Amino acid sequence: MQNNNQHIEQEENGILNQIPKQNNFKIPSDYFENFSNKIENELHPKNKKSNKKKRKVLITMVVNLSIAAAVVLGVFIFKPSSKSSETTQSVSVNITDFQDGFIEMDDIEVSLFEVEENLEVEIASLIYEYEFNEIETYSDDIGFDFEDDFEL
Amino acid sequence: MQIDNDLKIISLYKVGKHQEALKLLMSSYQERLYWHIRRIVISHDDADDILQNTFIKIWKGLENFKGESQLYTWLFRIASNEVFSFIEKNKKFKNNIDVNHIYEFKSDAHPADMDGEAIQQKLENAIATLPEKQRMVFHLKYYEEMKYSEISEVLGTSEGALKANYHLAVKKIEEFLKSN
Repeated sequence: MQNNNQHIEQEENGILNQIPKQNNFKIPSDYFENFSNKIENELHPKNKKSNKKKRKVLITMVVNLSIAAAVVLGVFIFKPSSKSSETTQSVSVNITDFQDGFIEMDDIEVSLFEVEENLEVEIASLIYEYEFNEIETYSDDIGFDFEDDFEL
Repeated sequence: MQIDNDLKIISLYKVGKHQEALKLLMSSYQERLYWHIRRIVISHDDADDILQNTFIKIWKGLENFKGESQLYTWLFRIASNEVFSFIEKNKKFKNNIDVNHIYEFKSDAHPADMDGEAIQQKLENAIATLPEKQRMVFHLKYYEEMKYSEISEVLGTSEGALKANYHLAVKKIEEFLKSN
């Protein structure tokens, strides 16, 4: 039966039987390998999931950064003048070195309780006995200039 | 072998092993579908675009594949539909073939009694003169060696009409080769 079919097809193909079947089209090298990778990347469910995860992490990061930026901005915007004597904010600093009216510290922790006009800084008793007009502080992450005089 | 692969693709997909199913689908069919498309649209870039759309549709539709036809005829049907949509959208689509950019004739592949390169070139030119649907029938029958019943599933045309179509295509090619 199969031989019969082959015979019919050979007859059907006529002159084509004398021509070898070959593929004459030009094609870019590695096309199929690249195409396969491209489609698998596009359709692969695992990649889709990981893309979703990445997007979720990115959104969370953006939200967190926005909140952090808002807090930092808030601190600077509401940075009070020294006219009032009421304590409305407290800033605690870890002092690592103090020399000639210049303070270096590892980190700054700012906590806002109530924002009004004034800012009072409580610094460790280590420097109580010193008097100075201007204090500059530095941190790795935040530059925080104290422009006004503080009561120590 | 082909039926085994098809069953494996479907079962892998159904049990949720989508990555493996996709890999097997690609390795089994991307070349065959590419050539099926390329034969009709001739240009590689067009064939590449159509093949991409084809695989996207296949993947989206695989969930709803009910097995009423064989997987591979279903795949070829999607590819064929994509080709016809492309031709419909690109009305200016013409068979102006720049032989040097499209084909790569290998002179070492010919039998001793024939000028292989020249005959291959003539054959391609002859095939290019066929209307798209006839060319598709010719490709599926001559190059893919599908049965008429399978081509009928792919193209939704009766076997009788396909036989007549193929016979006509071969005759046209013969005439072209003889006259050139």
